[in-house]
Amino acid sequence: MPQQLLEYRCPACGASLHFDSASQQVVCPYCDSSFSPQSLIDYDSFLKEDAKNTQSDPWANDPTRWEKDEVTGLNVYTCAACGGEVLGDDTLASSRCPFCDNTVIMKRQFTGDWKPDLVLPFKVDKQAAQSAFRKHLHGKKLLPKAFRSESCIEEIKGMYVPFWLFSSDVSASMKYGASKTRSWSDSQYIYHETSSYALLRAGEATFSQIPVDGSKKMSDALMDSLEPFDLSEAVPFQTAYLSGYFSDRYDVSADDSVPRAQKRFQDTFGRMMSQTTGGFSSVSLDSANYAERNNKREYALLPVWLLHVRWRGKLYTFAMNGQTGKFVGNLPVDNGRARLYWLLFGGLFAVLLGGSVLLAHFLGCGGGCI
Amino acid sequence: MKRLLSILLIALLLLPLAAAQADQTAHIYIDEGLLTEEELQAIEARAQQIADTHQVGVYFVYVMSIEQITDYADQFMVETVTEENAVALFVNEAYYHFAHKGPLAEAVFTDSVCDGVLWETFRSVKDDNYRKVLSYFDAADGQLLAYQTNPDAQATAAETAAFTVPDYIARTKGGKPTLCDSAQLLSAAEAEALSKRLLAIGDAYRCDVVIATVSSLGYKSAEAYADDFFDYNGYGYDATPDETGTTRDGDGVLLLLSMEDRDFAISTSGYGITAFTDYGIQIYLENAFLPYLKQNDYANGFNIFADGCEYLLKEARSGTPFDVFTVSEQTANGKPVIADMAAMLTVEQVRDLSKQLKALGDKYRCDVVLVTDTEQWYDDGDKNAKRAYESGGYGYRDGNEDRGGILMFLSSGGQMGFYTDGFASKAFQGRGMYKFRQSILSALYERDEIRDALKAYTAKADEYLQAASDGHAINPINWIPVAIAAGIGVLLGRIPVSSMKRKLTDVYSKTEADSYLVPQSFRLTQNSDVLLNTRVSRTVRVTETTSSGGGGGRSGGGGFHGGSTTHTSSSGGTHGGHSGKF
Repeated sequence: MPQQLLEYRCPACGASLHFDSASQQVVCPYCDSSFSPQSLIDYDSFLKEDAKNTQSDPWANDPTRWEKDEVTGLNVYTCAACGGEVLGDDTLASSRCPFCDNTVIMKRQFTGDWKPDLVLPFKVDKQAAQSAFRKHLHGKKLLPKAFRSESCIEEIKGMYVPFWLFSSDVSASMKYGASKTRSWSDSQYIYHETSSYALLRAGEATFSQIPVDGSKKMSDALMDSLEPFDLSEAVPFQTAYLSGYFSDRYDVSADDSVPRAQKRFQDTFGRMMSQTTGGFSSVSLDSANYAERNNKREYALLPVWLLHVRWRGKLYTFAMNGQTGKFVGNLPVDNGRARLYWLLFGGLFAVLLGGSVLLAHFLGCGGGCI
Repeated sequence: MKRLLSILLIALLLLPLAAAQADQTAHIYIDEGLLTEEELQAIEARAQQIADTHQVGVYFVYVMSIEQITDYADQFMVETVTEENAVALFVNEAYYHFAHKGPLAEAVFTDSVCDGVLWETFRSVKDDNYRKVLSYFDAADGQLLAYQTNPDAQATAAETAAFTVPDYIARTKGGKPTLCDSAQLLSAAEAEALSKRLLAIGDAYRCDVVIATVSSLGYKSAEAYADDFFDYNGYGYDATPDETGTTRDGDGVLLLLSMEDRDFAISTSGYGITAFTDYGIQIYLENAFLPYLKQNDYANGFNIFADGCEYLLKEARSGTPFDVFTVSEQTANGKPVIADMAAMLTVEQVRDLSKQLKALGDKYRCDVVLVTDTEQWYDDGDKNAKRAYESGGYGYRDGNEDRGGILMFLSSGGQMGFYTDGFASKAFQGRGMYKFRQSILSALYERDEIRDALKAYTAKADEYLQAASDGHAINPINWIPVAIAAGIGVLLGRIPVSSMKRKLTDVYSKTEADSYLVPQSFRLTQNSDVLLNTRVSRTVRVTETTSSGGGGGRSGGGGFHGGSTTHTSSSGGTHGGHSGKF
């Protein structure tokens, strides 16, 4: 069972609360009370204010940095086995690493790091993840039959994965070499004319909130495949949303993530530019210069269901977008069956094509033919 | 009259080519910089002088950038030329073209004069633009002068008069010499014997047989010279000359040799046109005597000519003139089994082979025929064969059953083609037809003998038609394409399999950010296309047809006509015959 690393206490009975993705409320599993995250936060801060009497809004001074005394209740721990990082409170002595299932000893304290700006709450629950997995296996003819029956889901974890969201006004200038050809003839010669052009293009475009996965442990491709997230549903970060889920802290810094975002918007920008170079027989890009203005980076926690499935000693990782329910993950291929299907289709096509050539022969297709 | 310049000519033509503008006077239009102003004026003065003397404008247009030279010329003759009569030479990068206007210019500047005299003169002057252009005007002037002081009748009479025919030469019934050897090719004894022989043949078949040799044709074509020689000298058996000594349509045949360019022409007239068919002239005269003339063995060549004339006249007088269809057997529908329009076979070969082919036709109730032609109407031999089949009206019809036939087409240009119809198209099909063709080709290539190919044609046609009659037409399966198709099928089988495999993988890195582009935020701030340079290269065009369609007297569409092609000579007489080089 996943540990609840961040806990809020039920104001009614004092039990641990967790976030219910179906109702988008924080609920108490013992007394069935439910609270909106905001009211819980208000209640929480009231308690804290009450206790300390002096402290105001903890985010007031620097909205993007953890406050010193807020951090005293939170820790980032590193799994000794796989290097995965786990967010937990400082009362927690140990947990299981969500990536490798090893026991984690949480020692290191953290201070002065980025605080998440946004969090996108879970909208689909664990049952949905389980049924999405079964649906994922459906209709896959080359999936080994035994995988369906023998595989077992070792663990399903709801996890907030750290993402960097990059926004930027991009301007670019490009130079293309292009040519146009034209042919005509008179009674004696065929003429070919080649005109060379330099195409000069400049333009600008705005990109908003390109997500780049800020966690080393999460495969970049797996996280990319979960896109798109509807970030308009994201809310300002509150620890209340993390209740009941694993949460992870970034371990790829924003600066290190910038090249991936750049590569992505340059690719899109480049294609939009090359669409303006029609009407030539050949076009090649000579040079491209990009400049970015009004850069904005946001730190967001995005909801992901992770499924670890063990089959014949091998671990398969699947992921589901916790907001949209999009399910991804590579499945094993039954090579024996693949060859069987090839034999089947190959044989069918061979008979069809060879047969039609024979048919053409017998119907006769003139003197010049085969 | 549009002719190609050879590459050599382009090189030696007027050299400085920097000019885009043109220099022009009343009669000269040329690219700038080719002639100095003084030279230009000097030549214009010459053109003016010609126009004043003869009332004929002579023009010279040398503009490399003209694209459609004939269109340009047509327009030029209408819009720019002021004289009633005019001739103009147009030259561009690739062609030269002559155009004339008015009856006088048309009479003087015939195709042969333009190509043979004016162009040749212009072409032969090298290295000096001024002399080159001037030589063209001089030559035109010379032609006009020659025409006006020495029209056709006098020209020929004058030349004949200049040569005294010796007394020992036999004379026709009309009193004209049967041999007029002004080029002096024969000894006195040879000449005497030959002339007597020609007279004897002429008298026996009531048709003058004449041989004339000259050293030069002047500005006439060989054909025109021969016609005029015949008419103006009053030849023709029982012909009645008018007061100037000219006869029209008298019965006779004349062989003319001109030694300057080794031209020959055979001119026939009156009954001669009937007796000497195109095919007869080709087979019995030209094919026979040309080899001797080529070796300068004139005595034998002329005697062979006399033999041929005797044979052809004898055939004609006995009822049927020798012609392409009289030799060959006929199909069931009365069409010639062999139509040897190109005279590629000897008479014996035609007789022999047509018998064999007719036997096949009778046996399988299906035409098996051969057509040869000098013309290639299409680039594709099979199309030519189809055309020959349809225009020749071939096809064996047995009641309602269309038994069709097979036609083999050969052109003197080396093209071979086949056409099959009806029953024959079932006998020769697919790969069977391919093998049939191959076996004839390999027979042809083995010794380069048409005879071998025709032997193979006969034998193979028999084999194929026999097989088809027995109900199993020869059409072997070629397994190679079948195997290739099956192989492609096996490879295609991978496509659905890999699409199934792809369904198992859905984790991919994203390289684009299309969905994060803020809508309508993309905006071009610069959009300019700068032309850097333009290069033009050209390649020589491969012509699509190897011969021009529809020439000569043979009809373009309607089957084969034997008989004789005729034309009208300058005196108005009708002549047949043929001309060429030896």
